[in-house]
Amino acid sequence: MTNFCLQMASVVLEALPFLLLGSLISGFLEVFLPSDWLSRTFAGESWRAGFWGLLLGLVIPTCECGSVPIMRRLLAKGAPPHLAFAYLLAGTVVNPLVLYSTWMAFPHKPWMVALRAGMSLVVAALTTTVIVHRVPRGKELAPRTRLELHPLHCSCHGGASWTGGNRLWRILDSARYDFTAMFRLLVLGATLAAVVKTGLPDQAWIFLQDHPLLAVPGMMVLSFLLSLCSEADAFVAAALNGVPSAAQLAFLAIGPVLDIKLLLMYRRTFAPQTLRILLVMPPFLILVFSLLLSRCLS
Amino acid sequence: MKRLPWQRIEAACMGLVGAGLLTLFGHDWLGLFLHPRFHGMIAASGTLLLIFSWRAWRDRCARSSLEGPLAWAAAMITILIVFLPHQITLMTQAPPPQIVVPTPASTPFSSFAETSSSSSMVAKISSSSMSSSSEMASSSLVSQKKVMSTPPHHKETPAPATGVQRTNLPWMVSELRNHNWGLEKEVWVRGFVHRQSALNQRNEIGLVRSLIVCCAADAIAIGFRMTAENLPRYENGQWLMVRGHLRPDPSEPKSGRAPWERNPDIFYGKGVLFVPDSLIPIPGEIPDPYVFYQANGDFSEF
Repeated sequence: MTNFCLQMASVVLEALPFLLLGSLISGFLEVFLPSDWLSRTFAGESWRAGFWGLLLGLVIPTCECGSVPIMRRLLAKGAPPHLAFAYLLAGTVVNPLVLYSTWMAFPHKPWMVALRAGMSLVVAALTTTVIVHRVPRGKELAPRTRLELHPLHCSCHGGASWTGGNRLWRILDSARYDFTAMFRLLVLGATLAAVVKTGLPDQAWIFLQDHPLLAVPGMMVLSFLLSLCSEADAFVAAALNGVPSAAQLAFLAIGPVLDIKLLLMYRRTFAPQTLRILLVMPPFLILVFSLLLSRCLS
Repeated sequence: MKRLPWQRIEAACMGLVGAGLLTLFGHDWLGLFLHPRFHGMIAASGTLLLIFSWRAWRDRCARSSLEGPLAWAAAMITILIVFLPHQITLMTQAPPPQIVVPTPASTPFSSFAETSSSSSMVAKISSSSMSSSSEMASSSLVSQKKVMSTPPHHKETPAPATGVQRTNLPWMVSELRNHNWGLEKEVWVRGFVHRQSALNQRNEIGLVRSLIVCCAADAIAIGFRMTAENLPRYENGQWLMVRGHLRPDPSEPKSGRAPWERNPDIFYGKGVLFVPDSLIPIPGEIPDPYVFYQANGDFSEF
């Protein structure tokens, strides 16, 4: 029981500052980003928007907990979906903090950094393309989220915003709404991850090391269940020195895109059609790429 | 149920957690399972939560629901469950043991004097090859005065007057892997016992420390295999202060995985066996059980 609480409390305490940071950036965007600036800038140039979305993580380096509030705010501000989804899927890996920690975790395999970044970029680009083509524009978010993203203009006081005109308070209030909506999902995700972590027998890891064919899908499932921060997962993957590199790469690629806490946040944020693509495309692509890589590397 | 002011209850919980985080800042408990580089961020988060709480209390526009207070309550309860036993232990803890029983070196495992209260010391490496001051300065973990004042030794064991380098287990294991560093030097290591069946069969135990990258959720154990011949049986988790040598271990398979490498949470120094000359058991847990991974690639304790 103590071990369970230790796991859960450490995941919550570790993710809390990043979720707050992500919410603050989201609040900042809400107040300072003119509502039509993004759509005007990238009007008719959706591919350029996608390209910048893939690289946006270099400018806004957050872990995956912080990227969800930022991404949905960008979308609500009229950003092309290319930009928002590319940032959501690639920004948590292609950012200086995560790349640096991956490099540190694999000092003798610098190509792991390149492969991790490369795989994330390809998966993000392909998934974004599918979402943009399959989901009607403006229907990406769940209706509830769209309501949630405009709390400052609610009409409960005769149309006037209840919050003062001060920009600082507007940033903080917007951040608070984002944060309280995401925090409950973080706690739920941390609880589930702690249950898995304390209940997972060591034999599971040993089994994966003895069955290289199952290592790639097995590591992906473990990555989903453990819900590690993208900044720290490279060290855990590096510690699993018995499993093939391709399986370690699959572990690193799927974690920042899909895990228990992200699944809960996605389910709350996106419309069912978007959610389906997000749940199917990245795992499928990562599985295929990692299996191909494991053939090449062996 | 719906009539209760959940919005205000959530605001109050948020404030409590914020105040709690500010109280925890600087408390050594936080260092027990969260990397020190997050401590400043925890303080900033506490402040921000207090501001949020105040704004949420005054917010007449937000929707009320039970989910919010539930999440905050769950977070508070788990943090308290981890925090309270530690606080109680701190309040009732006996003073650190002073073991000063030097015995003749003819006994294979004699105790040596060591005050385990020198909380930052983990391993001391003495060797003539490490006496160059420039080499010592190149490590951020190089000896300090405290470490140079080594404990009394047996007559047969020359005191390592020069060339003492202070470092820690993860650093040693990683340097050993990279540059074969540490072989044949006299090493003093403080770590805890990890037993596993593959090692029991070889009459060995693991002597390890827990390494934290971000938080306790990603902690791994790292250290050396140590021969346990002529040793009393020490159980899992027993802290030991050991003086000995790292010897190449030809029996370890050159390629593939050795049976003891199959547990993913434990890292042992590759190709070496730690042979103890003397050791003392440390009762209870040491004040700084974790080693932290630094952003610059070093390891350090706090």
